[in-house]
Amino acid sequence: MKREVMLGLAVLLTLALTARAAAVLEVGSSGAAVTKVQQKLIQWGYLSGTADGKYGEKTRAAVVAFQRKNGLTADGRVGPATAKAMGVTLSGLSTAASAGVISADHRLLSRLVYAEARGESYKGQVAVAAVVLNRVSSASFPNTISGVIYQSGAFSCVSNGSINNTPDATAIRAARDALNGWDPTGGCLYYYNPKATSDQWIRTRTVKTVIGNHRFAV
Amino acid sequence: MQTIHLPEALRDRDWARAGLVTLAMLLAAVTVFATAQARQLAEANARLDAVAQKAFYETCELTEGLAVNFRKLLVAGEAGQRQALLNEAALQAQGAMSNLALLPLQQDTVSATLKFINQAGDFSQALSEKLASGGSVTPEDRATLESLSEAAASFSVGLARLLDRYERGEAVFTEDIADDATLYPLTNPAGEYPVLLYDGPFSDGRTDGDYRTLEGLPEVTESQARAALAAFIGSQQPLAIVLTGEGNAPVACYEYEVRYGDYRMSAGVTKRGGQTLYLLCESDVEEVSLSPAEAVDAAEAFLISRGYGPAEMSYYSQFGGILTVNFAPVLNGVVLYPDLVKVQVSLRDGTVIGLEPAGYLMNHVDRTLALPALSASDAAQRLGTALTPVDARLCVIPQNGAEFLCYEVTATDGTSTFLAYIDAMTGVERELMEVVSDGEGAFVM
Repeated sequence: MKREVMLGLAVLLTLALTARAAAVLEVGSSGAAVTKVQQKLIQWGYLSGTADGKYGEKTRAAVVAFQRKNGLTADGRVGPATAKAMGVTLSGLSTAASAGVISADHRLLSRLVYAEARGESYKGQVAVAAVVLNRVSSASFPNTISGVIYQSGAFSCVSNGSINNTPDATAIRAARDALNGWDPTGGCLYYYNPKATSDQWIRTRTVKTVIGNHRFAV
Repeated sequence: MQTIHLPEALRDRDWARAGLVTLAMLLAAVTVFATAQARQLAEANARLDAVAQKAFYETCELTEGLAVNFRKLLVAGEAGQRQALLNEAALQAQGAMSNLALLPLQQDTVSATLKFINQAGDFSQALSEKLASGGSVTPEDRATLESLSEAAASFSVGLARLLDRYERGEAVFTEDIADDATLYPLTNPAGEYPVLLYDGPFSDGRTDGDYRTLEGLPEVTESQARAALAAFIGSQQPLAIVLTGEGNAPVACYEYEVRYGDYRMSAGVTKRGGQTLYLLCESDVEEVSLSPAEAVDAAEAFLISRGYGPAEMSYYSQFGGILTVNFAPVLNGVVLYPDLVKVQVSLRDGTVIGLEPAGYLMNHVDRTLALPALSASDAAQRLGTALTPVDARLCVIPQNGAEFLCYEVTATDGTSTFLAYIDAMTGVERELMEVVSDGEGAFVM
């Protein structure tokens, strides 16, 4: 139960092979990137038929023809050089912020960051996301991101509804960096704005660092 | 004149009457509206109350079950039966946790209870896993079970009393009276229960978080720290560094604001050793002119030039014009996953604009790696029958604060790729991951 939640391992244990393989398309590859390559090849007349997202012999032959025509090494594989010549990004969509949202917890965390810290510096936004994740890893709080965010009385943005606002790209990136392990609070479990809070209890916590308007405490 | 006055007088009366009627109608409308609003509000409140009530009843029900299961565990004879009871206890604890968090109280009110339930579930899970891999219940485990059983029983009894008061209409959840005595046992579940030491993420014995690579390094002055940061970032672009403060999170450090060309960054430098603690890019990057492969090369060259030694890219992910690359250091061909370093590269020009070296700073100390007791093909044979091994190599993985030398066996079931981590000493499968590619790089889940 806990382990899935701790992004530790999800981030830690990964495969070089597959990631590298994803950067080159060749016979046997499939997916959205192959579809994009095929669409380009069809558009320019190297390939006929429809883009089915499966890199077979026909696609390979079309890629070889494209490479010859453009002075590239005609190896029938779409690596960085060929992809660049085609104007295709192999690693997926490169601009849309929404492309960065990968999971339900990332979405929810982005909303929390936007609602709680949108006026703060980038570091201040990552810090708020990190506090949520530190709570997930703490025995004294619920074990999931949604459990922590929707815990009774935990975040004012849940009680006043501002958690339902659509996050901007910066909040989404901040949530993602926190999920990737960045934690400018160094493990803090609480934060508060000393000018805005009426909660006396939270002021008794030990403050470890101050970022923008927020004091971060354990 | 009279013929004019009379109708006017009449008209005035008509107006007055019409005014009164309108007023009455308005009043009636407002009353109807207000009644409807009040009813809706009452219904909404009742729904909210029902959510809280359900959470309370279910907390009581699950902790009662938990207490019973712990008592049974103390007398159960067979390992299989014990495992079944432990699995059920873990589920009950998980359920009780979710419900406790929904009780209409301030978050800090139930934190001691959350910790108790969390540890009870975590311990059950860990012991169940131990039994599943052939282990047995040690005298220490039994002692822990006894204390958990006792604590769970007294907590469950206390909750039943609280429920009784709640059912008799006492406003136990009113926040202004949420003091310890009123809410017992929610504020203090079991008095003093002993420190719990076991192999689980919530064990009291967890000691991760020490920055071991910094031990023995000399303290640096602020100007030395600043110089170290300047050297770390590089000199290809105009560089300005401003001290913003000193922090203690997680280790004593100087905090800076950095301008490097067009990039604005925040940075921390450790007082001990002058190591870069983190780099975060304040500005978004939209422009993409490098391929991920080129950016990965730039990140790798950066790491090597900054003395992080040989490391292997384990995955990358892209967000706008920023590529985040994870590197695992490699020692004698063994991949060290606890020592992960994450580097962010701008796809605009290959500048390194982010660094997250916590895993490296905590764990990358001199290691003596034991020789594996199993061969790679021994390990591959331990896979489940549905998987066909493709490749195997040695690595170190972190688990519950400890490290294990494992074979990372890449395997396929015909459609998906999996990574199985087989303990190179015992042959136990420690982790199983599915490789998921989202088009922006590969992830494991």
